[in-house]
Amino acid sequence: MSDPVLSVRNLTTHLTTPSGRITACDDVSFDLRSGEVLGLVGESGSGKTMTALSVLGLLPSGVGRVARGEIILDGTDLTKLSRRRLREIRGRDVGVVFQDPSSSLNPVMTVGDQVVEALAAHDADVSNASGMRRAVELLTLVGIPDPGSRVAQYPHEYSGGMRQRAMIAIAIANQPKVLIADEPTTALDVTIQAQVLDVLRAARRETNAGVILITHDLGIVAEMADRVAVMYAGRIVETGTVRDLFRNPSHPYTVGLLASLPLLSDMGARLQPIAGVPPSGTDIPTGCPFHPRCPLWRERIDCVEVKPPLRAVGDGHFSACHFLEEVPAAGLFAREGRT
Amino acid sequence: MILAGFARRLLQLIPVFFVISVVTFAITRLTGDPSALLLPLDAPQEARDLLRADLGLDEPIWVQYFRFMEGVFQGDFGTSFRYRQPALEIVLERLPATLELAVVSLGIALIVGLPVGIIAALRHGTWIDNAVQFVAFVGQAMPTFYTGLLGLVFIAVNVSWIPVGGYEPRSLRHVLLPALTLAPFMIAIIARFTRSSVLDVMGRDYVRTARAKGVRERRVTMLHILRNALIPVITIIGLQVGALLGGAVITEVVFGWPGIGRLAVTSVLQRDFPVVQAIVMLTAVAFVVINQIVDVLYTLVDPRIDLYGRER
Repeated sequence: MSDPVLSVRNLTTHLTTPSGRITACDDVSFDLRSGEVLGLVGESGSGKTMTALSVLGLLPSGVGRVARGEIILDGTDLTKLSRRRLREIRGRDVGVVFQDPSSSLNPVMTVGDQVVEALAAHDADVSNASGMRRAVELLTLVGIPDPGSRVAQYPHEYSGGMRQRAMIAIAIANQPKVLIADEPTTALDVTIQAQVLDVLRAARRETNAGVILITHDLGIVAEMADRVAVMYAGRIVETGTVRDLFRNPSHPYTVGLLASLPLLSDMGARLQPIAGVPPSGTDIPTGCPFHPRCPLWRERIDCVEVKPPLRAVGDGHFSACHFLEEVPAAGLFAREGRT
Repeated sequence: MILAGFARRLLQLIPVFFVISVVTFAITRLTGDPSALLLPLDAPQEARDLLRADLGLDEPIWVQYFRFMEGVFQGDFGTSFRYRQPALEIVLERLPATLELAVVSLGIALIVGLPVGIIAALRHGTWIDNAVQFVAFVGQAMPTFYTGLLGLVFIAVNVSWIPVGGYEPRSLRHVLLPALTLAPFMIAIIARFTRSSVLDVMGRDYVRTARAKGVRERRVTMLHILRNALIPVITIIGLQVGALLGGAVITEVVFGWPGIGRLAVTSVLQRDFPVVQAIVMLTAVAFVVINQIVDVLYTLVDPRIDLYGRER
């Protein structure tokens, strides 16, 4: 296997809020190879987006800070770079697609100008004319109809799906090595979601970038990702190939997530939610953060006192559960019978 | 196309002006009988009747109103009871002084208010921001007559080349103190509004997008933050301009500034109906026209706004 293009090691990110310090990412490690799609899955507030913003060096200023760890992009540790060097890397080596395309584009700039801006930020030789030609090419690539005239339009003249296509065009404008897509389809109509995912696939083919796909939708993960990392309360609790995770989930939380998915084959059965609520940032349980909601806990002291490290389940398949051996057999979140 | 739309919108304002004319006309007449002020206290009743007939005040009020409107459409607002001169002429005579004061004070307010608001927002949460907010709060709370008196006591008295009052056309030393009196309130409003607008835009997703593209911070600030943040500030500035054109009553009185504001006060006190009517009507027109200009400016700076349903 090739060397990873992005290697995150023991990333710990703190947020300072009025109600105290939050550990948004806690000892997060993962690798990303070129052309690979890594799904980053978890509930809201589990640290997915903060992981992405840490990589981009875009944590909210004065609030977020990488406290520990390394973010190695092509041999360079991004956490050690000056703000200027980091700016040079953003948008050139790392592209990003945000969640809500209707608010992520500047309303008073034409889409073309916003694409050109991404090019010009990293190449002083980009003229308006050459930039616009390239912008039209990029808009064509992401499937915007009539790109020659669309390039001169403003975001409000685009539909939601087209805006997200434009965002993808901006993200891949400089042939990035890493493409981060943060909930790229969440704000879109279901019918548009599949199209945007197709565009993301095309963008990955075009750039051969490693893609970090942040989502809470396991369906999208199953469809798009090669590997998955499941996050809970700022930690990666399980990671492996998509096949590993869906066939052989080895963390009670992953099992719970899968059980809460609606399946066509289970029509009529009730969905099985995970009991309780995800912990809030300032109030993360000790030991394994999942233990208060975990059906395997059964008052065992280890779960309360010891943070479980990631342990190998199989080749490239890791789970952070003290009792992962019990997971497959337990029938943790058995679905209720058909009614 | 913008001009045609502009004209169309002005036509829509005719009912507004009609209502304003009725209201002003009625209210001035509620203040009492002008002849009581124009003649000595011991003047005989015949003299009063004669004067009232001469001023047209003996006719039924609706006849007076139609006379007045007939004149307005010909650009004639009637003759001042006091000065025996066309009312419009008297008002226009005072206009340059008011304009001068308006331009200078607004200029000061913009030059100070905009940067201060922007800096406070960009440095939000720091002592600079807190200081700006505090000073703006005080500035907005301070009554004009008080700032004016402070200016007189501390500046005019000590700085020999600044007069305590009076007016000379286009004379900086004369306009400076009245303008500085008017400015703090406007500075405070503009700075506060600019600050909150910039702060709002700074948190928008598209600003994060610009940073994610690797755009230089200066360009992010100028092009993505300020460009968007200053659009709503235009409205506030427009409102200030409208208010200024009606004359700054207190400042003009404090500094003996011969502008429209002072004229309005004396005319009301003297029941000089034609002059009051002319001032109110013209101020209303100015206010409305400025609002229209603001709307047009919006369409120029914000592509999302399409007032006139232009063809795409």
